[in-house]
Amino acid sequence: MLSGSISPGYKDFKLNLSANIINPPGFTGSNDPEKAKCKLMSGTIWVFALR
Amino acid sequence: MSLPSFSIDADEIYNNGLYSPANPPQSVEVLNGGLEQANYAGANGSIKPYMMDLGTFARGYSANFSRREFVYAKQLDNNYENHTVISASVATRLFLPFRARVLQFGFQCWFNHDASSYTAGETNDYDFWRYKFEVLSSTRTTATEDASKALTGRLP
Repeated sequence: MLSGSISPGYKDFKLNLSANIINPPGFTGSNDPEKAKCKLMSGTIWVFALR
Repeated sequence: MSLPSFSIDADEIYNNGLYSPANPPQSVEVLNGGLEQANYAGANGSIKPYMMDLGTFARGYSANFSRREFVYAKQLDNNYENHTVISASVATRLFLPFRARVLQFGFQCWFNHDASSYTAGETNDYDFWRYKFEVLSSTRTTATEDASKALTGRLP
């Protein structure tokens, strides 16, 4: 939530993703950065503005 | 608004037809849309709800998606706090038409990830995916809009 005096105009809402993936030498499992993934399937962003 | 005559006269149009504040108003000042007393002169001094446009004082928005998006760890590096990938799905740009006192926002999303490895003894001894939801303004005029207003966490 933001409060105070929020200027009018365009607002960008965004989700940033990052990861800490361990890749020990010789490891070829699912957490290999070549293969490790995060899948997004569906979702919603909601915003409510009060003057 | 009333014009003194029906003849076309440049001075008359300029002085009476354009914006020329007066009480009671005699020009198209009455169309300025403001809530000044001049704009409801003649009424009983009250402003009714129907006199306001929908969304004048509060607005709500939502942006939805239903598609699969994959982000791979190979796209990232070890600096997970500063080097992030912006989701194409959980991102939107909205226009705020007025200066707001409160802006509430949030998101809901279904994730499926495969960071579940634990390695004892390491400094960073477990895998995780991290999210940071933020709102940025194209015109940052106040400190309240800085990126510190973020929802940050690790995906379970």
